Amino acid sequence: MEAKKEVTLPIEGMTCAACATRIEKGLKRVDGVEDANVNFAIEKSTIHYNPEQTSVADFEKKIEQLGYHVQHEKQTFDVEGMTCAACANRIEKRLNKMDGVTEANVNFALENVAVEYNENQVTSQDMMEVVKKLGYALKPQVSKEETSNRKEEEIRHQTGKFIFSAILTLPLLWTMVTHFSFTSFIYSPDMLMNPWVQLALATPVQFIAGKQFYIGAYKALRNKSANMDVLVALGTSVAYLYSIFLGIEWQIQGAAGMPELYFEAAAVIITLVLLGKLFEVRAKGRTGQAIKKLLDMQAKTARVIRDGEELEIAIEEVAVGDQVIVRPGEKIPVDGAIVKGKSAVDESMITGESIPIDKNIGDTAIGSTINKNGMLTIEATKIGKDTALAQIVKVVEEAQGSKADIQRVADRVSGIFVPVVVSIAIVTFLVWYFLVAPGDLRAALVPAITVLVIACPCALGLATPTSVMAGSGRAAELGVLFKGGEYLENTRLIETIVLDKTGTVTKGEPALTDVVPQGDIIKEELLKMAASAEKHSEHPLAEAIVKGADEQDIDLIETTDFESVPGAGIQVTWEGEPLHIGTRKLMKQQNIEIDSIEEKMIELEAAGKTAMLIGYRGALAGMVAVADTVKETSKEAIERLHEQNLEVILLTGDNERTAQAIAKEVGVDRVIAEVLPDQKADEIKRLQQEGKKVAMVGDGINDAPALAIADIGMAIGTGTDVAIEAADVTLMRGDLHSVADSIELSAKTMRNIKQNLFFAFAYNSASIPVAAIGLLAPWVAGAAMACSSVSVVLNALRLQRLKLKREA
Amino acid sequence: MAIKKWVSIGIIYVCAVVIAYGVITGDNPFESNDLEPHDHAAAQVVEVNSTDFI
Repeated sequence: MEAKKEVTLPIEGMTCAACATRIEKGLKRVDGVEDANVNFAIEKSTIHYNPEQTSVADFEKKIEQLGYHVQHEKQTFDVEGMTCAACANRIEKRLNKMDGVTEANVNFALENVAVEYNENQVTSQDMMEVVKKLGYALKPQVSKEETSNRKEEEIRHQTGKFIFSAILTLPLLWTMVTHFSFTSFIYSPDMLMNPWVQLALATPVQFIAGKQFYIGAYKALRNKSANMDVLVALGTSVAYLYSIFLGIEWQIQGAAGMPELYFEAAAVIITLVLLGKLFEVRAKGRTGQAIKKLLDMQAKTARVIRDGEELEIAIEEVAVGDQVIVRPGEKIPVDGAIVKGKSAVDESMITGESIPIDKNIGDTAIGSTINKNGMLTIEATKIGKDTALAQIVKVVEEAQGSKADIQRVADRVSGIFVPVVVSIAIVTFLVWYFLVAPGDLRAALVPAITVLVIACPCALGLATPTSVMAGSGRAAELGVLFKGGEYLENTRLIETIVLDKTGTVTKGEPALTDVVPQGDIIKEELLKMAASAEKHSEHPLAEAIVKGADEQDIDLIETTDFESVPGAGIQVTWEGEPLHIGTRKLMKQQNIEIDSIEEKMIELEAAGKTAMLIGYRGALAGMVAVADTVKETSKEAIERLHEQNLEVILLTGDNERTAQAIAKEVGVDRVIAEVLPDQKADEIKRLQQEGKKVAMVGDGINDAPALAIADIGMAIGTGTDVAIEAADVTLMRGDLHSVADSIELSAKTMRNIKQNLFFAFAYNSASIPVAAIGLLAPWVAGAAMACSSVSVVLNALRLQRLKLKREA
Repeated sequence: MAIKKWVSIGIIYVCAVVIAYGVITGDNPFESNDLEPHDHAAAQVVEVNSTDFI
């Protein structure tokens, strides 16, 4: 019987001692828990439990059910020594089995593992030891520069080893080439036909250049599993040892004639596999270029004012609050607010907006954008990993490191592929030895060796991650940030796109268009009332009214008792009397008659304007209307979405007529209007219940729940942080073309993954029967195997040059 | 190890094998008695057919 265990879990989301009690009670109710103690002050719970009856996963589930969250440490480690997807699988499985590890995700292409764990249960040291026992090295991630240096060193080492191997293999290949009748005229020195010369040339290839395969195979077999190294080491060793045996036999029989040897097959296989690995390492490095490009966008130094002096310092040394001077033509080094000067700033690298934006005092400046013509002084507000660019890099890195669902299938297949192939090789040998060519060891060995070599699954492990890396990197360059491989995979399945109106279809900058007074009130007075009341509101429509009044030089006065009526309007006290501004519904609630203005209101709404009624002292005082302009690209982008066979729906809190007017202008299929902010998520749910795969595109805080509930939530990059946080895809460029781009990118990346899986899987599998019936030479198998890895990586790299339909 | 070192070691090793062959057997390492295509080629045709390699 296992001993009782104790675990400490850090908990997030507790607001008072009652929360702690609630969690404690909940945990105590779990079968197998003997005692649970939740400390509100340190936000931790200590649980004593019987591991035979329950597990930490049950506690975490319970805590989540109660509405709280167990905090996990997240860390990425570099992994050394992996040679194929089977290695990655083994490490991932072992780490996931460890107590305290919530999730471990190994990325074979990036050669790293992202681990989410409970630091009270398991430490990074524990994980390193476990992985070391498997025969690999887990190292905390070092700086990107160091990683890239290490990779370059590895490329140099692999290149050297390949050339060494090739120099020794070429003479062996020479003899092989002259074997055929049609090549027999080629000069070939007798020396090369000598078994002992061949042995002398093949041995360093087998054991120096091929050492890595033996080490890899040993590690795998020690852990009772098999990987590509096992196949290569087994296949080439059999060929090598059998050739030695034939050589000895030849010597004993008086060294007459020339025996048929397989040294060249073993050497050629090793050389070609090394070449394949070399291409693979080089190409793998290139798939991560998007990150490098992003990092290169950053300024390396900043000019700051410290103690009244202007100093040029490294970007890492800039502190929040520092005043940074940016000269014309320079990159803005950090995110901040402009405190002095004005200039046009080119933000195209972040927002995609090609026209430089005029910036004045108080405006925000984004790091890595370019100051065009004026001198600016910026107060740093975000530095290091908090800057917009660093956030973008983080999202891209996480997406590149994440797994698409299809990869999990490929991983499972490659995990069982090697043992299956070894079995097929044994069966092939037995069939040849006992049935096809009874007693002929040579005839039986060759097809068995070929099967071992041809079926190597290393391309299978590369197929998906290389495409995900290249696809998400290219997407980032085009202004689309996928938060994970699964979103890159699933965005293409979307059938319905729901667009928020303000800020998504329209510019989100409404302007005052009409002021319609009623009775004896004059226009200026009505506008003064409306603007003074709306001054306290942060709604874009309110800002438009205030701006309109300001443009007409109307002085505003202070109002009191401001109150917002969600989805309806506002209420204030104006000269001691209640003043209401808002929808028909609000007027109805206040029993204010609006019939006299209804016709005009309908007319304005039909023109796509938002009309707001103003009621004062229980009577209608008039109406103001504002209109938001549609983004220039919206209509064209929606046409593209239609071409992609998508249903486009406009979702807005605006009234039906205004929404219909905008809908008609841009060409959406359906309008869902007059939806309160908290009902947007319900509308998405309703669409999902109709069996549709729904993507929601929005920018505001009120869109966040809908973005989270949609199958794919897309935040338009000019939007709020909350929306971006809730979304699965961030569209950095503020136009709707990015929505169509994201779907196109997703479809093309998936097509690329499928092509890769075909190259990797179908190709190898189809070759197995050909090899088994003896129609393939072992060295051809080696070449085919190297080709399959290389073709997979090269195919993935095509995504880096992917052109979208609108660019073509 | 630098690429140059790997290349140098490879070339030196192949030269060493060639020299060692000459020294041990007393034969010219570059001699080929098989310049006439008929004998060797005929033998190899049989061999190739028997293995059916492509």
